Amino acid sequence: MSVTAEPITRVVAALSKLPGIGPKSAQRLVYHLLQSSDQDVEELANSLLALKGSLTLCSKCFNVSDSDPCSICADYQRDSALLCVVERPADIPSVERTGKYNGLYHVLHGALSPSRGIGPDDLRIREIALRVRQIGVQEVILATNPTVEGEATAMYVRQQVSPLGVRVSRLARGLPFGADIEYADDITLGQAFDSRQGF
Amino acid sequence: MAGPRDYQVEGLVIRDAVVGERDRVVVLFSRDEGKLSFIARGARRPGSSLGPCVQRLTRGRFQCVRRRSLDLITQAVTVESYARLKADLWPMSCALYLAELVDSSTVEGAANRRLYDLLVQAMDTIDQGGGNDMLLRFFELRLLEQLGFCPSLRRCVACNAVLQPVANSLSARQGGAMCPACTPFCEDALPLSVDALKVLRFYLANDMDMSCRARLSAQLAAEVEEHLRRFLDSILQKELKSRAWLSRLRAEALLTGNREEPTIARRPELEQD
Repeated sequence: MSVTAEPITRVVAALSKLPGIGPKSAQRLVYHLLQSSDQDVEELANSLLALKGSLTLCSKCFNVSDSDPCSICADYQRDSALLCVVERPADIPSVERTGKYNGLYHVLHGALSPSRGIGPDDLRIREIALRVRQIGVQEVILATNPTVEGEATAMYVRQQVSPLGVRVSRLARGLPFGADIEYADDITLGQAFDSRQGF
Repeated sequence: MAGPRDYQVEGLVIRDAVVGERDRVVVLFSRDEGKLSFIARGARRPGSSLGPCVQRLTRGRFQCVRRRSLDLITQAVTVESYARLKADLWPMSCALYLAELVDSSTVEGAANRRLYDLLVQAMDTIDQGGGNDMLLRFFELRLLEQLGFCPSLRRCVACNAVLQPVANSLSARQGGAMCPACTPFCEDALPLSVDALKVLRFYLANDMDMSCRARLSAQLAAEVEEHLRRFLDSILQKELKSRAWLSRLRAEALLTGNREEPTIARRPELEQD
C-alpha cells in the first residue's frame, strides 16, 4: 500500500516530466500547492488549461502567439527588409530587450543536430526562403546560438538563402560584459579582435 | 570511487547536453581513462570560463572533482578549440560523425590511448583542411582495429585459405573476407572487388596522411564505404545518426573543398599487398 495519496503521486509524476524538475522538486511543488489558497491553485490550473488552448504558431514567423499573424508580423511599423532567424521563441524577447532591432523574426524551433538525428526537415528552414521571396527581405540575420549546433544551423541556412541574393549576416561574437580576458577562449577572443571598433 | 577526490583529465568533448538552467553534461573521450561523463556547472552562463572549454569538438584539460553521481568539472583550459574545423559545415559534420562513432563504440571508463591519439590526429587533420571521405574510411577501419574488430583481409575467415586476387566477399557477421568457394554459405556476404580489398589493406598498412591522399573512383569509394558501414552497423547494432546528415550534405552538394573529382585507384602504393 502506498503511503502517499494517489492524487499527490499523479501530480508529482506529471510535474516530473517537466525539464529541470526531478521527483524531489516535483514533490516540493505539490506540497507547496497544497498549502496555497484554493484561488491560487485554481488560477494556476486555469492558466495551464488556457495555455494550450489559446496559443498558436504564427503562420508567418512560427513564433508562439495568441494571434495569427503574431503581433510582430502584423505590425506594419516593423522593417520587413530585415529577418532575424532565431532557434527558439524564447530568443525573441531577448533580442527585443536590446531595443536595437525593428525587423521581423523567423523561429526555427531548434537547431541542426546530426548526432541527435535532427535535420533540416525537422526545423522551419525551408520556410525562410519562401519568406525571403514573399516579403522582399534584403538581409537575413542569423541569431542562432554560438554553439556547434547553432553554428551548423547558421551555416546551413546561409547556404540555403545565399543563392537568393540577400545579404546574410551573423550576430557578432566577442567578450561578454563582465568577462575576464584571461578566461576567454581563443575563438571568442580572436573574433573580438577581428570585430574591434574605433573607441 | 577509488582515487583522489580532485583529479585532472585531458580529453576531447564528444557529446554534450544541456541540463537545468545553466549547466551542461559533458562527455569526454579522455587520453588516459577513455569515455567519461561530467557535469559543468554554470557552463551555459554568458561569461562562464567553463563554457567555451566544454563545447563539443573542443580538446582541453579539465580539473574535476569526484562525486557520488556525475563528477564535476571545476576548471578547464582549452588545448585546441578547432576553430577552422567549426567554421565550415562539411569539416564540422565530419568531425561530429567521428565523435559519434567513438561515443557509440566505447563504454565509460575503458581507456584506449591509441584510439584517443587516432581521434585527435583525425580532428587535427580535419582542422587543417583534410576532412575528406578517405579520412572517414581510414578512421572507421582503424577504429575497428583498435576495438578488436578489425576485419580479416588476408585469409578467408571460413576456410583460412589465402585470398586470391579475384572477386571475394566480405561478411560483417563472419568478421572478414571470404573466398569465392565459401561465399555461397554465408548469407550476409557482400561482393568485395580486388580494388576494394586493396584499399582496405592499404588503410591498415599506411598512416592517416598517406591514406587521405589516396584517390578512389566514385564506385570504388562507395563500395569501400558500404563494406565499412555494414561492418560498423553490425558491431554497434545501430545506425549512426550523423551518417545520414553526411549523406544529405553530399546529396545537396553543399560540400566545400576536399571534394575533388574521383580518379581511379591505380596508384602504386595501392598495389602493395
